[in-house]
Amino acid sequence: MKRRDAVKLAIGSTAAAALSAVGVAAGEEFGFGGADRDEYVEEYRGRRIQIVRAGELPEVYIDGRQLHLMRLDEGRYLSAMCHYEFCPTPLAAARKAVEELRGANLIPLGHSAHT
Amino acid sequence: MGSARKKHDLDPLPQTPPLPGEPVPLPRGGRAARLARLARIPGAAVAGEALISAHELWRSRRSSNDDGAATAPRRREPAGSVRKNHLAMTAQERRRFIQAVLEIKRRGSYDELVALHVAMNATDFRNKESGVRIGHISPGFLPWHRQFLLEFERELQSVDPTVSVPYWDWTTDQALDSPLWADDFMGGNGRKGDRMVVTGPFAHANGWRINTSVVPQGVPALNGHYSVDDRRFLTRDLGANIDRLPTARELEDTLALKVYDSEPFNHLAGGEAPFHSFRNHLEGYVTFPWEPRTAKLHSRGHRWSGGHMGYIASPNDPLFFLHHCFIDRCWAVWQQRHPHVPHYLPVEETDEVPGLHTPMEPWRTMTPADVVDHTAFYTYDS
Repeated sequence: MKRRDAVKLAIGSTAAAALSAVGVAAGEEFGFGGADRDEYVEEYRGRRIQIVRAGELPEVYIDGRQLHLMRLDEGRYLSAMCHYEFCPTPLAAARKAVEELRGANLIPLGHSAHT
Repeated sequence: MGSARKKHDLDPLPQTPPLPGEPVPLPRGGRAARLARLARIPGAAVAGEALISAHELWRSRRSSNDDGAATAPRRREPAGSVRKNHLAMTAQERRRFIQAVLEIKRRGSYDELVALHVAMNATDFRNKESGVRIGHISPGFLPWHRQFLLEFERELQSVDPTVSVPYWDWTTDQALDSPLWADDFMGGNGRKGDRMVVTGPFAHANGWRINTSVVPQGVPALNGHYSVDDRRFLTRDLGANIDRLPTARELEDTLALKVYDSEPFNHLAGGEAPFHSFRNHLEGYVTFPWEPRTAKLHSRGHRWSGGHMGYIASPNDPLFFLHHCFIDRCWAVWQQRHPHVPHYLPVEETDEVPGLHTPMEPWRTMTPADVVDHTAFYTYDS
């Protein structure tokens, strides 16, 4: 039984209205086809990857928890889970994080109390 | 003997350390503004969040277990510590080093250093093209980590004054049966499946725990930023991401570079002939045309080790300190090779990176100039 690693679930556009003013071909740069998409979701190795366009940098979520992502320049991204080697796109960084997590969950980022 | 002790043995550095809770006074004008920017760094990882000074982070973490005084590691004369290749350590030295690491982990100061590195890393990498970069993707990489290791070593020596930080020379020490990975030292590779380290003093079963707390601590309240995922066990994945460690030849080629660093002082510096950035080639963001494109030297050591060593919270693996001790030694070796060139650049700070005389965050007790000559603090065995 061989399940494909990546199963595309949905291509949403809930944030489109608010973010369309950014006006860049984000889909190509972020690692998924389609310049007009503001949100991308896929299942990868049983985890839900969500990429949301949010200004200069997209936001990447694994099962709803945000992955710290950094862009060095075009085609070079680092993440909290892959910090010493470049990933070519945010999607590649997200998949790498899933591989590294091996079922673990990201810790929520942010300052507010999570007690 | 008390009255006969030499004055300079105990004198602090020329810089007056700030009082607890008190930043270094800033001069007026444009320089003041730049310094103020250097002092205010975001403590968290994502855009749009409130700025928190790493200095405040450091103070808040420290105030719980000592008087919070920000003092620089003391210069010693003659330098007291000798940092050795771990292969040259005696069994007793190995044991005392591990015991000291376990003790500062128990006390909490180990995790303070982890949190500090996470905060600095998050800041430095977010600001790679504009804004302030202090300890990473910056000429500050080498002096900042030199002070980071000095702080680590000082904590160890508060437990056991005989201990110093050993180094791992991965250009020659590449075997998986090296004493590095022995049960009485770093422990071995992660197991299949979850990559949990299951042997040695840093195995979960032997008591080593990754701090995954998100309970706010300190004032201002901060979430735990000791790790980015909820695994409480240390992971390693030796050789899985990159098939080999750096070679002696790769290090030699980088040591041959004659210029410490150059514009734009980031991950692009020295990327093209004549490759004017020893720092960036050692940090590992650029390569020579004949080398693999990514993850060179410093970066390659992190990636080859895998698991936590590849994450933003890499100091959770004590291997981090042996790896960075070797990087620190590389800076010293490079200085010996090139005695007549500036050993740190830029001399004047820029809007983005520390100059020779810029106090390094978050401690603000020393500048790159204070640490360029490591022999003021310790020596290397070879």
